[in-house]
Amino acid sequence: MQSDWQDLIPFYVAGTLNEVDKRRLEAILAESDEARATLQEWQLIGDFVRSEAATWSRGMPPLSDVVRTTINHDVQQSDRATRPNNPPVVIDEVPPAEPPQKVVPFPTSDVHEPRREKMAQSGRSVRIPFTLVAAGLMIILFGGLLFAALLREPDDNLTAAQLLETMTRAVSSTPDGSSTPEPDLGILSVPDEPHTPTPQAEPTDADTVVQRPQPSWTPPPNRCVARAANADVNVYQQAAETVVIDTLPHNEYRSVSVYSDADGGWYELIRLEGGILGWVRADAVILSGPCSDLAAPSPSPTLAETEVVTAGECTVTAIAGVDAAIYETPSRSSAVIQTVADFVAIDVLSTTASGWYRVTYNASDSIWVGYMNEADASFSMACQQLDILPVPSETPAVSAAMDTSTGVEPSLQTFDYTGDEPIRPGETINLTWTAVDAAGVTILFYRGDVDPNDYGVLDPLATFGNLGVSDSVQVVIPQGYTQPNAVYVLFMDALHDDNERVFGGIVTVPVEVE
Amino acid sequence: MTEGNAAYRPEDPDHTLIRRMAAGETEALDELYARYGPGILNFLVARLNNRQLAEEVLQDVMLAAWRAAPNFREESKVLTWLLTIARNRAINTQRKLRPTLVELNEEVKLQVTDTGPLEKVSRLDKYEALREGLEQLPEMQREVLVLVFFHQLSGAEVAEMLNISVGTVKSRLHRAKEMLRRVLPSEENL
Repeated sequence: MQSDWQDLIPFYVAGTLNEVDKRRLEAILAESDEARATLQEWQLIGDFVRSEAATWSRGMPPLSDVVRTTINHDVQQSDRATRPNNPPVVIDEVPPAEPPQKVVPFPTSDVHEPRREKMAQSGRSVRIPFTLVAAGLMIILFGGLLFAALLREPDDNLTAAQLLETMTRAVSSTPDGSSTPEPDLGILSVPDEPHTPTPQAEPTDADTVVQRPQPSWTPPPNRCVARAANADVNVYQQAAETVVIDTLPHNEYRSVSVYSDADGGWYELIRLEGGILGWVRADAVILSGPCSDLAAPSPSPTLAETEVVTAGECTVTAIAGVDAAIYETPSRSSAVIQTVADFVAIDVLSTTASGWYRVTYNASDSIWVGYMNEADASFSMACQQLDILPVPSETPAVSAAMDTSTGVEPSLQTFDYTGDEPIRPGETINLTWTAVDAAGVTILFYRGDVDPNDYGVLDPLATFGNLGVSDSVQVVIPQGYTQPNAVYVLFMDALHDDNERVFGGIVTVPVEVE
Repeated sequence: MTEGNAAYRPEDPDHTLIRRMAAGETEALDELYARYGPGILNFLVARLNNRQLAEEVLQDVMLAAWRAAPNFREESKVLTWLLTIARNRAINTQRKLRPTLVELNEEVKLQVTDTGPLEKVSRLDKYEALREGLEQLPEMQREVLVLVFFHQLSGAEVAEMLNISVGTVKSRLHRAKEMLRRVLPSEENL
């Protein structure tokens, strides 16, 4: 076990140590040869890493054309959707003296109002004589009517610009008195298609964003491709996760690389320009092409090192090269709900007699509770002291003798939490509940700021499923959680209908955040 | 109270940049790229150990940042937000390239330069040895070194970004140092 001061030195070298620790460390450095030697080691490493890392970013390329094209497209899409149909056009500079037929005609709308105001304010009159000459010619052409108009008593408020416009309007009028149709200025256009929203952070339950007409779509040959079944489809960062990173538009397709059967089926999509795009629900897309032999995803990050992590009294040691999967139930045949990349945040909750450990894993945005097999990881001796729990029963199957038509609604008798208050991120609470006439229980974890109307509609931060009707679960408030409250919503599975989920109750846990 | 503290939190000028991006100002993305692109790039190099691949992922990160700007909740520093995006994109890329990376990872054990009598080495030699050592470090240790010494993130910030405990940050640092120590052929090792 290394001393506390050893942990402080790298941050001291980096200059990120707080003042209290800094003073404490400096006192130790003044007295300890070992500490000074360690400091020298870290100074060498720190200097080297800084200088080496600085070289990695030399000659950084500019933003690529692909990025620029994409963001310009995004902006155009956004502009089209937000601009009014007849936006004002501001013409900063009046063209220099030009033949009258090239002067932008005065339209019936107010689009030239800014121009008129600007000219009036700036008092520019340099073009008046020319315009007056042109107008005079027209006056001669059109005779007394317009001439009389000019000879009428001057309006003190008539500006040069207004006079110019009067002339222009006269020039562009047709003999029958109607205005010349306004030409297409080519500056702005009326939106001709609906706005495509940017990817949403919160996926919807239906996993769709915008309904669009059915596209005419021809899949490319020799490639397994996916397109959205009915509407834009959310693209997730990982299979069976809730972080939306992109959208697959309804009228586009992407190549499919692999298939994962975790959590009901997911496809990993490839960008048109290459590289991973993300994952989509299998039921939200339609596949075309040679898709019958899609491979399963390669084991998600295998462990490159053996790392010991302390989880309370129980330590977990990853085994290099082993796929560290968390299963939904303590069975190899159950779904893999998460694959552990770093293997560093595994908390062991309990163990079963059959060689499975119940664990909770903090992924980037979710907490997963599931089971790991002892063959996939090495657990410390301390884990042997964990209480051995019976393997939880599978969701009770409805027996043939059971009357499934009674429609008895499950009910919730208790739902509460315990924890050492104040509860802060990283700490564990214990949720307990008792449900009656339920086939099983599922608890969803939401941020404290989620509207209660969205419970069960928005995807939660984490789902704890396959829970018994009267049970408890330990839940870790995620590190980095910043909301003053964490909300756990309990749903019960109806006995009479596998697909019916009945709202049970809510527990709001006050979280003290810094 | 948290909400009270939030009211006194000084405005982060970088947040304005992200708001401008959210409003569709493409120039703001250029500013973001100029300000943070180099840092993100060297983090990606640390993570991927491949400059060319890192450059490609960097473009992907900037596009992702552009599109995610409307959803940026201003609860974190822009740097750590970008680094988190970069790390996620790097992991995705690594998954795609897994066969190659697995081979690399299997070779993660550093070659100890046990060449008999120790010789005095210059700082240049040490740097050369450290360079090799750094390349051979597991990516999770290399990225922590870069985050701590180059980006100057605190232990808590690194822990939050990588979704690990502060203790794990410290243990990765300690292990990285021990592995780097072994590659140095000097009487004092480091």
